[in-house]
Amino acid sequence: MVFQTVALMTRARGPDEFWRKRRIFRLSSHFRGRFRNCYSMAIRAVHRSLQFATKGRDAKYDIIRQIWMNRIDSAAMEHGLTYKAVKEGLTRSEIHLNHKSLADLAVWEPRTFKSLVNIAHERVKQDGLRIMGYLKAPARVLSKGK
Amino acid sequence: MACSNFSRLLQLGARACTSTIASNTIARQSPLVPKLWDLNVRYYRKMKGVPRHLPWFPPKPPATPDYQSEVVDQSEENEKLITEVSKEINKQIAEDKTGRLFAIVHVAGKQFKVTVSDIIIIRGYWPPNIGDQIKLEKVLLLGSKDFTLVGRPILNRELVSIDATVIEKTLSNTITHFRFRKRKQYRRIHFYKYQHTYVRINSITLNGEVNKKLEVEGLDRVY
Repeated sequence: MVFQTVALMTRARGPDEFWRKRRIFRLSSHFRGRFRNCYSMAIRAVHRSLQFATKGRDAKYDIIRQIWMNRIDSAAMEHGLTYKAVKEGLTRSEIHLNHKSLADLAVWEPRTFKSLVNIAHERVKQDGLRIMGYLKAPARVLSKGK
Repeated sequence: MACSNFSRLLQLGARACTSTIASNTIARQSPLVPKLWDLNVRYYRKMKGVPRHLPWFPPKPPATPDYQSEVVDQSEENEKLITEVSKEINKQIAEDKTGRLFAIVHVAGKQFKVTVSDIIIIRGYWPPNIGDQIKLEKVLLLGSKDFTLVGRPILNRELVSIDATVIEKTLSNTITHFRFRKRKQYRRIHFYKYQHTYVRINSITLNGEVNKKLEVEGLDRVY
């Protein structure tokens, strides 16, 4: 006879203990020492690692963005401009390439990137911005067509 | 800056102390009265052998005001140069010597650098289904062996056409979102997957000529 009283319901702890622990051990299988096989330690480590994974997914993009910015900056410095000037010049000329594309161009298409830098330089010079710094004059930039 | 502020502070302090005696005896804060800092700078500037700038920063070239420089009208020359360049580009297009083209396209909120036979993965909800032939129209930049066309912000729809096919729609791997507060009995776990759409770039072609003014435009689509 089954007594389905409230007191007994509170003791129902979900699935079988073995399988409940098994789920955690699957995640902790690559941990070190007793964090792998002792449940009370494993579950703490798994919680920690899942939190790191959740937070790291967002933080990863900050780092990737920094890498893109560094790549653009160093490629622009080859032509005497800084990242800030390039971005400002391109935005003012309504060229809305994002960090990812600019970094891609800087690495794989250096000639295209150079022409973009020249456009940015011309624009920055034309608008008389101070971020230009000490620079050589670029080749003549003309804009035409659509 | 800090020093000038400090001298101002001293002045204020002195004025506060002596305000009971006579306020007019102390020089007021005005541009006519040189400050302690300015006097020092002047003194150092008159001295010989004092470097004017840091050795690793070259001195600024004197700025020539615009009203002193002669403006040369280069419009004719520019026009000539533009004609020459676009002629050269058109020649390459006509002779099919552009080489393998690449482009930067804006699809579903992200930019991709693509070339022919590339596969791009679009993340998140995106309506096209498997087998759909689509034309990517937001082309920000098109590059070739010898020239680059830069859109401001996008190139003309009729000038460049990028054809693509949707080849697969799947889901990403399972992503675990776990939030946890220790000692607060707070624990939330969610699992989710993104939609992934695989798009194959079939062709990137340049239609018509660069820098050519058409009489009528926008007839490729009628709403």
